[in-house]
Amino acid sequence: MGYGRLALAPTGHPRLSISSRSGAISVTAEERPDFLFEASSNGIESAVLDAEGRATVRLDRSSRELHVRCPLGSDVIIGTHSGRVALRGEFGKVSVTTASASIEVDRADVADLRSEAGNISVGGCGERCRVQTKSGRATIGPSDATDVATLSGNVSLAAAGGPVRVRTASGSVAVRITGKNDVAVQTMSGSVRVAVPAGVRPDAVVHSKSGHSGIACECGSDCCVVVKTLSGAIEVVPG
Amino acid sequence: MNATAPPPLSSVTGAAMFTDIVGFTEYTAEQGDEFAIELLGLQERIVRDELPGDARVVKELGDGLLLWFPDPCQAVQTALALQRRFEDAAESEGLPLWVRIGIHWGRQTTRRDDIVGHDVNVASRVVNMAGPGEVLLSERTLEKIGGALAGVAFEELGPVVMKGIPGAVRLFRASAA
Repeated sequence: MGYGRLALAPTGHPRLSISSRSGAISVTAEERPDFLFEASSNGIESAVLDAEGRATVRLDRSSRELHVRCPLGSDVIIGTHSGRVALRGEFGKVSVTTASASIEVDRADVADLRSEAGNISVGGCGERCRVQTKSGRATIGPSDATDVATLSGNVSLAAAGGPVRVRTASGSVAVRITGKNDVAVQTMSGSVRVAVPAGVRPDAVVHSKSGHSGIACECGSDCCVVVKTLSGAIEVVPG
Repeated sequence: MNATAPPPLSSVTGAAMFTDIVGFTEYTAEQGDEFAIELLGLQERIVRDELPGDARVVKELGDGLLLWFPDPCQAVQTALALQRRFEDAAESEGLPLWVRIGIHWGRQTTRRDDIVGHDVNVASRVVNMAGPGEVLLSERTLEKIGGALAGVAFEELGPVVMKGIPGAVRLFRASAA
């Protein structure tokens, strides 16, 4: 029999590791000193605090839902097979790896998010944001360095403030940069639209073997925008 | 009638490494078989170029390869060298050679020239979690390396629950430091 509710007080920078086979996981970062875990069906199989202050929680198969409350800026690592993962509030370094779950992160300094089938959305990322999906959509708000790879999932970067790299086979890509940042996008069949802010004149190189490509903004040498696709359409536009 | 005991299995201990070309099916559909075979040939040439003498290509798996290394450090260093070569080749040849690599250290049962078993299955799951251009490895591989390798940075991705594998496997991402 596991636990349904327990609290752990981290020492040093708060770090949390959760592994679960299934069931929804939600983590809320807020002004508090400790971790508070609440699981359905007494589904917490084990919860330990290691010598470095990291809380490691393992859920059993009966767990349908885990809610965690943690200190603001916590580093969080989650591994799960299925079940939605939602991180609310502001986090430090976040890593989530899952087979089929969707992943939602409000805000993190650094994020590494992987799901084979689920959609991934990030409200904002202060430093580096790395996202991998196969069929899921990747939707990312304001971010610094951003690296996204999908197989068929569409990619949307709303306000990229650092270097951007996107690779996708058939997903469509929409990138809006906020400054003089370099953009590199490669697709096989997915269409690509890169929006460049007013006053920024990119050195734009676009190449589509069989699709339409066009550059509708003034070019210069402020940053490099390189888009390559086999058959997708390409647009580099002011915006 | 006497029950016959199964013949004893022979095994090796080493690093099983899977490579996989991301988007190969889509590339083949877009460009046709001729171009797809060119891409496979390019991957294979680079792998055979970079492979140390005591490592080997165990088998081809459609758009991927199963490789075996007797030394975990050598496996990680070769994987990173391969990714550099793949990236350069993709750029110079204009081909989407987006390869992902997964490594797991363990005991593999030999079956003629093939290797099979649980630890091979884990390696095949590890590569599934990698993105194009990435090298991922299991915790056991990193432990065997000794936790550190000159010129290589390891970033923890966390405990990953993989289909058909009991328990979570901690994964790490290797990159050039």
